[in-house]
Amino acid sequence: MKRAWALLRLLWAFLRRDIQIAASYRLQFFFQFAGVLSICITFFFLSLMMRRVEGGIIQLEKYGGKYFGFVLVGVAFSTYMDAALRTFAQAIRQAQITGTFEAMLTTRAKIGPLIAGSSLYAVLFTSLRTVAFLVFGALIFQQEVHLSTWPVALLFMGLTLTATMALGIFAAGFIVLFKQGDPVTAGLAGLSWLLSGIIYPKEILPHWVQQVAGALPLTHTLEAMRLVLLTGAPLEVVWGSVVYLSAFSLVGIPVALAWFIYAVGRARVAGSLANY
Amino acid sequence: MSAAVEIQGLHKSFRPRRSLRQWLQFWKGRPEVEALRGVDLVVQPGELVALLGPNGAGKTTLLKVLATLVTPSAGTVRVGGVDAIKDPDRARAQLGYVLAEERSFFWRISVRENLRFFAALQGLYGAEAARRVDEVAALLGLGDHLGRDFQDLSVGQRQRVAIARGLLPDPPVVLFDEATRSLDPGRAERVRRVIRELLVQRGKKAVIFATHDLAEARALADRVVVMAEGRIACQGLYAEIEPEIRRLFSAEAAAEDQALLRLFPDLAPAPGPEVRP
Ligand SMILES: Nc1ncnc2c1ncn2[C@@H]1O[C@H](COP(=O)(O)OP(=O)(O)O)[C@@H](O)[C@H]1O
Ligand SMILES: [Mg+2]
Repeated sequence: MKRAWALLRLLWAFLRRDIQIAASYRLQFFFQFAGVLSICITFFFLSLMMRRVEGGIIQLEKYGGKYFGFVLVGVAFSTYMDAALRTFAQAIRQAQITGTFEAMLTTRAKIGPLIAGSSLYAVLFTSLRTVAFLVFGALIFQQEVHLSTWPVALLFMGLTLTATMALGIFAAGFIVLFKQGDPVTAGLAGLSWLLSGIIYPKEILPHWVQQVAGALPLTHTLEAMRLVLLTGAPLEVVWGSVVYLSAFSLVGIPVALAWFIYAVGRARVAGSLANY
Repeated sequence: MSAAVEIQGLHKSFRPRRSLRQWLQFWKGRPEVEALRGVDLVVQPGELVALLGPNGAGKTTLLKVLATLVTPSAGTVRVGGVDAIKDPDRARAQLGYVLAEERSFFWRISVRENLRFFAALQGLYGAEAARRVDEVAALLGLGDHLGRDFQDLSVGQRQRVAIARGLLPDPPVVLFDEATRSLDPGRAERVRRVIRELLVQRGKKAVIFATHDLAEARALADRVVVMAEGRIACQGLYAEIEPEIRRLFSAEAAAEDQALLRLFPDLAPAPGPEVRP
């Protein structure tokens, strides 16, 4: 109990620090949300064009039949993973260059809370950004968002967050070892963009490709979020994705942590914790 | 009572990153840099050691091994009786480390927020952390700077924040790496006084202070441990081993002087290492 409380306070210290840093870059903060709006506008016009044909696209029916809602959820959550991973990777890299990473490792904090705390702001802030997509979509572009099963949506938000954290910690291990060019952030973004069905329904893809896509957490988030937010689907309908994302997080976070700890151990041998 | 720091037979060799050429000529093997070649050192609680040596002697590597930032190739390291290689988490809890890198803070937040963040990493929160931050800031004359952004400080002020950070957890062992490098003489002397009188004499802490500056070593500590090329070359009272220290410092300098004089034969030979009064 006492240890859980100490852990919470430690995580809060990370969050407080990162919120203050973000608040000091006010203009960037503003542009983040302006960017969200401009993406919404782009896809709104695309969907105006799609209106002529969307009735004939049978793959869209499952998700309510309207392209704008479909793509809004797709983009909101695909940029979630992408932005969270990028923000986190950048934070680790910067900590390495300034030496704060080394400074943190000389304290009595354990490595697990250190890395989890470092990722916290990235995942929470991008969650907010994702909500902004949905709010803009609903208020400005009149997209109907089903909130009847909001606890299910919230559950998926949480599961997406933990899955992203697992991937982020895994990527951070590569950054500690190789400094630049982690394959997780770049590779995953590329694959997800192709396979997860962000701007087109994944059902268009050949069957075997869809099965590959099923291994990507984003595919499950998108499928479930669309069903929940666009058609008000209850938990039973998206149960498979709950199981997949939970399993991904439960296995992924310990594996990613072990990899990260291994990477830091290697860097300790090489004396390269603070290398560029 | 166990020694505060106990190092035996410590070796560390680094394998630097290979250049593209070395990488292609892999059959030639990989060059190694031996930073530590068998170091033995015992420091008792309440003892202040000046670790003196020219650039590249291995001082930083030795401190980083103690702080568990670098894993040694061979040897044993105990901090406060805890094996720092087998149980680095517990060893670190005994230890404050003042990095040579005074940039290692979050530049866009205030000094106070920086110190509070590192206090949290040391397990200090809320009012307790606030009190401790004010204390260490007062020790280093940073009281007026707590509200300023870290990026607005001068290099010397940043260095004092780094020293304050190392003292936050009030640990039994404190390591300083060139901690007065960028301070003006008055402030450097005040930091030495804080170390000597508050940390060591009153606090009974064990302190290792790495420096390349002969005058600083002399001003700081009774016990001087001299490192050269990864080994402990000699140790004792500064006054007693001064000739040996001068010899060590000038040996390397002489070789470099020769190279310089070959290029510019008309230059006068350099005087030996200087010790200001
Ligand atoms: N991470 C590293 N990789 C390769 N060589 C290193 C590394 N760290 C230190 N060295 C080398 O080890 C030797 C000792 O360095 P260091 O401990 O920093 O010396 P000092 O602090 O006494 O100036 C130097 O020759 C340095 O180049
Ligand atoms: Mg050094």
